Amino acid sequence: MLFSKKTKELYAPLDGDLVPMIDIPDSVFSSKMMGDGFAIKPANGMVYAPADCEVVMVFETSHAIGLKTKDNIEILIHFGIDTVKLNSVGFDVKVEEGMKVKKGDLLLVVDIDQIRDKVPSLITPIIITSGEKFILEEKFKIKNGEKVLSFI
Amino acid sequence: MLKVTVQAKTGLHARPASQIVNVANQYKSDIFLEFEGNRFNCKSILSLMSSKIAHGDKVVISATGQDSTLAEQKICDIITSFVE
Repeated sequence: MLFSKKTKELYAPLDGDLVPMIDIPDSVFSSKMMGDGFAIKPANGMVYAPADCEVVMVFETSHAIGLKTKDNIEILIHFGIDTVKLNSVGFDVKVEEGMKVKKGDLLLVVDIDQIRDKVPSLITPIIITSGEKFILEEKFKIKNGEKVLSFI
Repeated sequence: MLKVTVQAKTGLHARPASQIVNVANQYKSDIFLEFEGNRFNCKSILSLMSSKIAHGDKVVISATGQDSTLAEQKICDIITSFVE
C-alpha cells in the first residue's frame, strides 16, 4: 500500500449506554484533563478494538489499554472508575503491547459481576488522548462495532 | 535533572499520569521521565502509562528548554505528592 488510510470514524468498543464525558463520576475524566472522548456504561465485559490500530500500552493491572491508529490518533480505553485498585482481578486481557489489531478484535474480557461491587462505577471512559476533534453520534444505547464518532 | 522515588502504591495510573501531563503542558520545555534506560514523555498520557513505573521505582526527571529548572521541580513535586 502506497497511501495510508485516514481514520475517519471510531466504532464502539463495548455494548452499553453512551455517557457524555461530563457525566463520568470521576473528575479526572469529566474535567477532560486527559482529553475529550466519551464513555460507555457497559452491558457486559467484552471490549473490542474501536478501529484498526496498534496496542501501545496495556497497563499492568489490565484495566486500561492504549491504542494508536496508523495516522497517530491515540485512544485510551479505561474500563471502569478506580479499577486500578483491583490489581487485574477480574480482567482477562487478550492483547499485548506491539500487537496490531483490526476493528472489532477482542481486546479484553472483564468479569463485571465479580467487580461490580468493588468499584465506584463500571462506566468506561474512552479518550482521544491525541486531541483530534470529533462529533459524537446522538445515541443512547450502543452496540460494539456501531459507529460512535466521526473525526472532523 | 532531578531524581525521585515513586511512592504511589498503584504506580503511574490514569489519575497521577494525567496530573503530570497537565502540569507538564504548562511548561515550554520538553520534559521526560527516565527509567531503566527508557525515556517517557511527560506530555503524553499513553507514554507515561506505558512506562510500568511502580511503587518504589527511582526515576530521573529531565527537562530541556527555557523553563526547564522550574518544570523539573514542579514535576518532582507532583510525583512526590502521589501516595495512594
